[in-house]
Amino acid sequence: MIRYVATGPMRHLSRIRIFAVAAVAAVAASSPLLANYAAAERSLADVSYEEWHSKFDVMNEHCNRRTTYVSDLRYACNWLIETHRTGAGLLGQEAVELGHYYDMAGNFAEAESQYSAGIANWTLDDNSPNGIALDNPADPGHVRANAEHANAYCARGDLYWRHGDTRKAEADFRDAASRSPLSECTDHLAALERGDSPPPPPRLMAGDPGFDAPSMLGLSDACSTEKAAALAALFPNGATAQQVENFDRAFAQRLTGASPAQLMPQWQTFSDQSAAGAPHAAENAFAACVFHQRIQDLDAGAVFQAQQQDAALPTPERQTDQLFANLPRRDSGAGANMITQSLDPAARAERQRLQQQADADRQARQQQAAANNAAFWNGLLSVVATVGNAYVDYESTRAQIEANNQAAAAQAAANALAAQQQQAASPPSQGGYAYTTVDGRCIGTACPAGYSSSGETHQTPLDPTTGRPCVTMTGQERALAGSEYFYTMHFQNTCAQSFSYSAHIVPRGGTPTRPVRGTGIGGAQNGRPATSEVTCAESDGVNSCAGFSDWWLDNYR
Amino acid sequence: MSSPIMQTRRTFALAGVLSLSIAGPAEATASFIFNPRPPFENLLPDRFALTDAPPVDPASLLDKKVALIPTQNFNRYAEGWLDYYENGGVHRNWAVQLLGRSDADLTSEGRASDPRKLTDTVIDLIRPYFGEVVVAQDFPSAREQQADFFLVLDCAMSVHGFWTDKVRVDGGVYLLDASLHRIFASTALAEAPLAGLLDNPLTRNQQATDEAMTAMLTQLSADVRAHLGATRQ
Repeated sequence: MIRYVATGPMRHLSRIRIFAVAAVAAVAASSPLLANYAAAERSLADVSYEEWHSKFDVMNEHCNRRTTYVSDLRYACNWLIETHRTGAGLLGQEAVELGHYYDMAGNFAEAESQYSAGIANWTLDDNSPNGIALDNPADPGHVRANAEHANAYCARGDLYWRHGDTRKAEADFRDAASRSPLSECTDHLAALERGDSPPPPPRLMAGDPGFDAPSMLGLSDACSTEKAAALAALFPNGATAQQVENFDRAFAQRLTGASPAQLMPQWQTFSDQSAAGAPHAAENAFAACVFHQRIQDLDAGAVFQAQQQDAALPTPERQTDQLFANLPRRDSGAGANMITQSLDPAARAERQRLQQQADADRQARQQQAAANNAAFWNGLLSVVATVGNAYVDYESTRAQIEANNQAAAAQAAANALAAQQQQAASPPSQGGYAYTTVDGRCIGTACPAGYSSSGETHQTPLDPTTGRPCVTMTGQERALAGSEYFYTMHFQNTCAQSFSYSAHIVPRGGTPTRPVRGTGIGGAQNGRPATSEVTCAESDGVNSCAGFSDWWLDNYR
Repeated sequence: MSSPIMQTRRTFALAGVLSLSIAGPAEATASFIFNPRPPFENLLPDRFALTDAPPVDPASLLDKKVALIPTQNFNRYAEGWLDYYENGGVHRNWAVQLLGRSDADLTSEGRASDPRKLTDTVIDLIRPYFGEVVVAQDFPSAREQQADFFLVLDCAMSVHGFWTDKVRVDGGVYLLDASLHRIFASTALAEAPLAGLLDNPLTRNQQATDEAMTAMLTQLSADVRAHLGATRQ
């Protein structure tokens, strides 16, 4: 097939895509707004390419088919020539198109320079059909190469013609015609020879890279503030020179070839979105400024008309509608349900009631657990106490038996001692101690000395050293501790033997009860008297202790 | 054990000490503990820049409707909390099953991190200032309810530290006007140390959660109150 399928138009489209898409896409990499632009451009380019490619294949086939009718051959080859002429991306052709721009702008010197460069560079471009045997009509590139080259001559010839240099114009037209008999320059040469007026300056087709290209420099100067804000928004870390260039190029591409009527609705969109504070407000503001400036450059009246249409612009409410329409929506979530629960007084009250109930239940369980613990320990202590009392009773019984035995022995001894006493007037003794019958330490005025409140008579052992009772009560007291009164008797024991004691307690408002027994009053050690004390507490109980009525030492009754 | 924070901690400890994962850590970690995302993520476009609103006329609030909108953090927090404490998640936790905590303990523990602490607090704060308070899932639905203002609620609970030694609660309240301009933004965070080696994790971690949540709500309430008071002036 044809080689230049892959070099000429495809390359042209490839450049278009680089120009219109890649550059935009590069900028749009971090901008959803420009990404939309890029997507739109890409879509259009793809469609154009597909359409073009399909048609190109057909034309290419007909142009190179030997059996094609002459009229079809001419049409097909002309289409190919025109395709390359208007859209070729070859280096020479690009210079020609640039020359067109200068030509259109009235810059003769630059236009001539670019056209000449296009002619000179034609065969220097690596992508141009170098090596094509231009004199070999059988070469498939023959038609295209000659046509493109002819177009460069033709363009420069037109330039010369318009500026009155018919000699150079004629020479270029002939060079063009020699390379492509189908070139429009054939007609130009004939017109020149007839003395016709030269054609008007070139007016590039919309979409041509050089067509009516806006000066982004001028536009950017007019919108410098907005541009700075847009670049800052797009490139928070600062834009590189390449990024700025791509940015400008993207907007230039958008503006190129568009009429004020085409630009107007886009300007309105950018302006509306910018005014509404929509996302990417900075980019929209710059776009609105640039489009506004471009429209004004093309047609000052168009801007005025657009401004008159402000009344028809979306109201703030409609702008806000548009803003909200683009915001994300979500399915119902648990967070909203919880807010609803908090907003509903009934639900909230029910929740608080359940919480209070749970608190009460937990408190009740804690109390129950505490009670269970107390019951456990009480039970345990009760067992311990029972065992302890049994032990005390056992010890008391055992002591009583021993005492009785001792008493019996003592009685015998006493009898003997009495005889001795009568003989030696010495005091009686018991358990190794002499004792006296005047014991029985009554407490309080109701108890006469020597007798207990219960009328019992007690005895007490005597200290063999002093002849005084071994155990004496050295004091008694009542003390308030908290809400209870404590009654205490203090004893002193000057003998080495320990003694068990008993005492009658005085209930509150009652009569003395059965005696209580203590574990004992310790004996003196190393000749130093021992002290002991007995205490009872007064509480609210029926059998509460209000003191002691009397006391005595066991085994000395 | 059942405190989700302690589960995380224990999971790390198990993993660290034993270098094993046979215990199924994921099953022992409550889903409402996570590192928060930006509050307006999935509510506004990524590059949407909030700008400050002009001063608000105090009298204008009293007959206006404000819509409360949860952030995705709060949605996730609430969803995870509900799943864990009210929809049986806690009973699927192997650690809870292992230690056999009572329902009463779990109820008490869950209450310490109940997301409704935030919603109750904020609603009580703002009710006097607005004419009507409604709920919305997102901004468009809030606007469909003719809300004049939007109040975005944010909350998340996370654990920090190499051995997850702190529980952290992040909270935020953002009031926006009908054009999505920011009237005020209040944020607060609070941390509390989790159980140490000598602490009883069953009580300490619940206490830490309660402390952090309470401290965060105290800060947040004060800030919101200050902003609303300033708004009134």
